[in-house]
Amino acid sequence: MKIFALYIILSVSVITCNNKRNNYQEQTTYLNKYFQKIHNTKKPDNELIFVMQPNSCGACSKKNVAFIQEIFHGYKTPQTFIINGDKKIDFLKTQLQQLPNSTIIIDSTRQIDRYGFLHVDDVIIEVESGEIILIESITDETFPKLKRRYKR
Amino acid sequence: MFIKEIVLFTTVLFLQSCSLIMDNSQVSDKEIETLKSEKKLTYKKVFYKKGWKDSIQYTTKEYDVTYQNGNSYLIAKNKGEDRLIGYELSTQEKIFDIPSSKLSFPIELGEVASVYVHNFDSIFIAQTRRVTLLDSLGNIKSQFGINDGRSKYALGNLHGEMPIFYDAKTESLYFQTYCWKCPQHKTSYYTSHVSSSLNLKTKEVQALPVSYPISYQKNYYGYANHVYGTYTDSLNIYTFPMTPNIYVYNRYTENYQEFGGKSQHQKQSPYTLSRQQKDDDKAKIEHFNRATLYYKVHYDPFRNYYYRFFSPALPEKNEKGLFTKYSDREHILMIFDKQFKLIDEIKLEEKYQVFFTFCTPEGLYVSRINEKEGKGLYTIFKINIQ
Repeated sequence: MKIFALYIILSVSVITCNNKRNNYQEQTTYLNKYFQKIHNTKKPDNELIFVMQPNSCGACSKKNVAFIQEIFHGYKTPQTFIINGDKKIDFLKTQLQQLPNSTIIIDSTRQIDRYGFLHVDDVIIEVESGEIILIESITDETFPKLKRRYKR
Repeated sequence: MFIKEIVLFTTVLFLQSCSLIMDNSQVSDKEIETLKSEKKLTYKKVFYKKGWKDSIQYTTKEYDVTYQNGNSYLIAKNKGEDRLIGYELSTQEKIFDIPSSKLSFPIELGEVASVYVHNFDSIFIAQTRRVTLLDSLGNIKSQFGINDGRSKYALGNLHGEMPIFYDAKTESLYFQTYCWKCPQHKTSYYTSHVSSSLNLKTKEVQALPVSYPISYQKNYYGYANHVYGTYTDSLNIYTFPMTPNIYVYNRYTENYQEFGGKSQHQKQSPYTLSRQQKDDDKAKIEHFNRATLYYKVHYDPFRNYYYRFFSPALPEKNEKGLFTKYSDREHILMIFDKQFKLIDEIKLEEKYQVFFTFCTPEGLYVSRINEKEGKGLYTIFKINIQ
């Protein structure tokens, strides 16, 4: 009987874990497609990808850019910044270009939204060995969590 | 005994893991039958492009269209320079231009939430904590404070879809009202009244007997919690994105009525979110982009009809397997007679920003999107009903 109960608990846990992993699997697939179809490139295997929303409030952009510059300036993992739109992007472009290990992509027609990355906030996507392992909004609330994860 | 505990534990785990799915089930709303009119409708479309050079503010909060002395005027803020400009729509002539030096709206009193032109001597501008009354030369005629924080209800225009309105007979301003102390994912937010009048003489605020529909109290719809308000010579008309019903309050008789307003293109109830998703902006924006959506009612004082747009639900993904966006939405124009009987529905063929819609003697203007043709495009629907 105890073995039976243990089996049930393990089954539920496995289902829950699988669901979580499936979420990122699907998003990894879509991110691969996005890079192939929209930019004719292969998605990098180890990269921090930032999806930046230029139309959000100016003050929010400034705060997030300052945070990114503080945490990721000189960070060894390469960074790609996808600027989602082509309006009001000068500030973002100028500031993010200053990061030494970065590539900037301007997605003028916001195609990234069609690949499942529609977000209100700026977002960080961590890719490790070709798989997405983290997707997190960059906001006041997530600054401490991101700081702990990436601060060297 | 041990087995019972395990079964209970696994049941709780199972229910927790499935709670999002269960909350997403469709819940039917109390729908009022939509009455049908026997009148017949024909229409033609005329394209209109603004000729003026000012880049006006395209937000529903800083924008009004008014009919004065036989002409229609669009009043809007200039982008960047904060001037308030009035144009005559038929001639496209600029008829006034209030410089920013005369428009003092300190940010500490809140954003400009609403512009309403009663006539050119009485332009009301509402901020979060102050209402200013000025004329078209920019002379301030009156200013008074609102929302001092003593009430749990705030007067406002949260989404830009229920501007202020002044009724000279009741000497009152009408506002959207919301419980600013109630979290927007809690039922308490949706049981509060959604509209109030403020008597300008006595400064007395009176709650009107209109609240969110029951479906909003039972379900959570994330960002789709707009209160759409429209005013006629005697009526306040309220609608909400997730329900087809039309709620009507008579300012003079204080009579309240509900009408059915369902589109024949609505094939399913809007899907709901879990209250646990209150901080999930992605889920909330996807819901707003994809769920069935009713927009505000527009009153046509020149023909005595009502118009409302409806947008059917979008699938999560398109035929290419890519995610759909708000811009993929189709829009249906619904036309009602003055008894709120549905006359007809027109499926729009092009892409429109239906938030920017207004009526003039020429017809119904709807903001049209065509990147090749530029900005400031409208289609005028010239509707004829027999």
